[in-house]
Amino acid sequence: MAGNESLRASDLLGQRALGPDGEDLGRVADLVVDDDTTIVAVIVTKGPWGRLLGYERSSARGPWLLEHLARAVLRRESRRVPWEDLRLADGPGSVAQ
Amino acid sequence: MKRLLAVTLGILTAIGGFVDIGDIVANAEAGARFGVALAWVVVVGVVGICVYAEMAGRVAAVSGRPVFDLVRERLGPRVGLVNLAGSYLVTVLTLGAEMGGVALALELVTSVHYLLFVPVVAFAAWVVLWRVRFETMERVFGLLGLVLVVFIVALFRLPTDWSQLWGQASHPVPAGDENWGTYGFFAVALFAAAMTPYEVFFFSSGAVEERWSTKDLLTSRANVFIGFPLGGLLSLALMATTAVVFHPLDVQVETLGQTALPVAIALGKIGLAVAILGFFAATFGAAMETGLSAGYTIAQYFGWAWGKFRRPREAARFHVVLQVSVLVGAIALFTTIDPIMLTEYTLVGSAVVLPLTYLPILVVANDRDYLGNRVNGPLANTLGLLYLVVILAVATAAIPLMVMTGVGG
Amino acid sequence: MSVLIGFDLLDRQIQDCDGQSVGKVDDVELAVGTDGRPRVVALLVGPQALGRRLGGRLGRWVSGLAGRLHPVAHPDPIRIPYALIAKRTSSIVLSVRRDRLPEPTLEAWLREHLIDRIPGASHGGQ
Repeated sequence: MAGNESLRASDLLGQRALGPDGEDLGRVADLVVDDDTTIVAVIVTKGPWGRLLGYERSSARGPWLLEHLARAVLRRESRRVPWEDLRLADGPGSVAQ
Repeated sequence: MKRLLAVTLGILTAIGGFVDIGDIVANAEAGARFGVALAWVVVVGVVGICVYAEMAGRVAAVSGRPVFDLVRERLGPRVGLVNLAGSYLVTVLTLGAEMGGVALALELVTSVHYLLFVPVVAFAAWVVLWRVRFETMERVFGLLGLVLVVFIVALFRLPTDWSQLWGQASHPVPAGDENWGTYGFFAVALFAAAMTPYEVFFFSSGAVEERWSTKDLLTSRANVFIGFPLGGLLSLALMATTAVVFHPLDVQVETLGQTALPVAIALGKIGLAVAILGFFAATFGAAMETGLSAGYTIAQYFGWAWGKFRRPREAARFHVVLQVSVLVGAIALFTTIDPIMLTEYTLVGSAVVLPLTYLPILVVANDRDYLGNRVNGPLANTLGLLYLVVILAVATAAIPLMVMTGVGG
Repeated sequence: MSVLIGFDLLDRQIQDCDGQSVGKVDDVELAVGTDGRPRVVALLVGPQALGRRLGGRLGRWVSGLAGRLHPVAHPDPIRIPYALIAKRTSSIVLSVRRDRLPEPTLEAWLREHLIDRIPGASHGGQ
């Protein structure tokens, strides 16, 4: 694959995601990869999808005030959605489905 | 014993290296205009820098990650880039102000116009950054800066009315012709002079350069908790001496020469010479720090090899940034802006960019994946959050106050 | 153990096996498998990758930084195959030395045209 034309993570992040019934799930905030380097799931969020200081992970803790503010503001309704249940507005997901 | 010596040396270097042109200008001007009524701001600022530097030092020692590396990692590339642009600009202008301070100190000694010294200072800065060892550079200027203790000596030799000083300090309100606007502006300036972003970039990157590990946490904390407050004491001495000499006469301090006057009055020519040496060491040392910090921010955002411990040809981009930064700083001075004025602008700028650089550190200091069990305890988090609020308040108030009062009026 | 591309890979510092800086993960190259799922193939480093990721006019300007100095009009970013990653701690550590990877364009150009011309450029670290 030619270097400059390859598919990149940045092509998928920020994309609008749709569920199997076409409902709007929000935007792709992150991509979950298993041991095998395959993308198995996607984190979608209805709120702003940018970097969240690291609070995406459940192992990140405190200071509690900041953590809760950050989660409240930047990750309202974010969920993990398996790759199969997803369609992207434009990208490999739309091809696979 | 050898360890004790090393730690002591570190502390002494931190004390002498604390004061820069921002501290000199802000404290001297505030002392003349408000007496020591704003001393509490310096105290608040010093505690703030201790909190921030301790966290950044701990993160650097335990995880090996310096501040700007974390800024991009935690804020993302876009917000990180905005932060970089702001931080770099402020740091480079501060570099210009520090070099201006060196030139002004040389002018005091030789009566030759400071602008003629600017190329000399810039060249010297470039040479030191290119060739001199990191540790040597820090030690020399840090220890030389200790001579600023002459301001404390002068304070005792002047007809200082201590109870009057205490009275001013405990009644933190504007007096005379001053109003809450100018009071607020100088509070912002003093706070920004104590909590400079470049100081923490430098401290954190220096820790990584010197390959600190968890064994060095004690040294790091000694430098921060003993060195910085004592350094802050030197700043307060600057404020107190101008408060004693200029405040009763209702005279404002506007030049570096006036800042040294109280020492000349108290201790004569020798005192004056020592004070000027102190200014020289403080500003040249700070010029080195800001120059390196300018390089650190850009190199760490892009992930380049950086640091003085590498040969220049192994970190070409970093060294080019250092050189370009010195050049830009010198150009800023060649616009013939008054270096004191430039300093005040950079203080306002520092206050504005501080929140976004502070936030990632506070967050990472709580991250167990980075620090294991050395994450923030409840005290560090309480202080950390408190200061986040203070920093945000100062950042929001800085520009309005500057505009309202016409940069202090 | 699952890995989040955005948090665990993107914008992390990459170091070689000796601890030398290689760069930041500016983007991640993916390849779509026969099952329709993308796989992580390589890390991408360099202003070209960062610029494309930032997008817009800002992104094009960042990409241009290296482009102007490179003999090829639109150079590819430095590509580090995923298999070269030895471990992930707070930074990504590779199993190889830095000189096994292509050198960043800007670094090489500046070293040749500027740094090496100033006396003392090879002066031992410090």
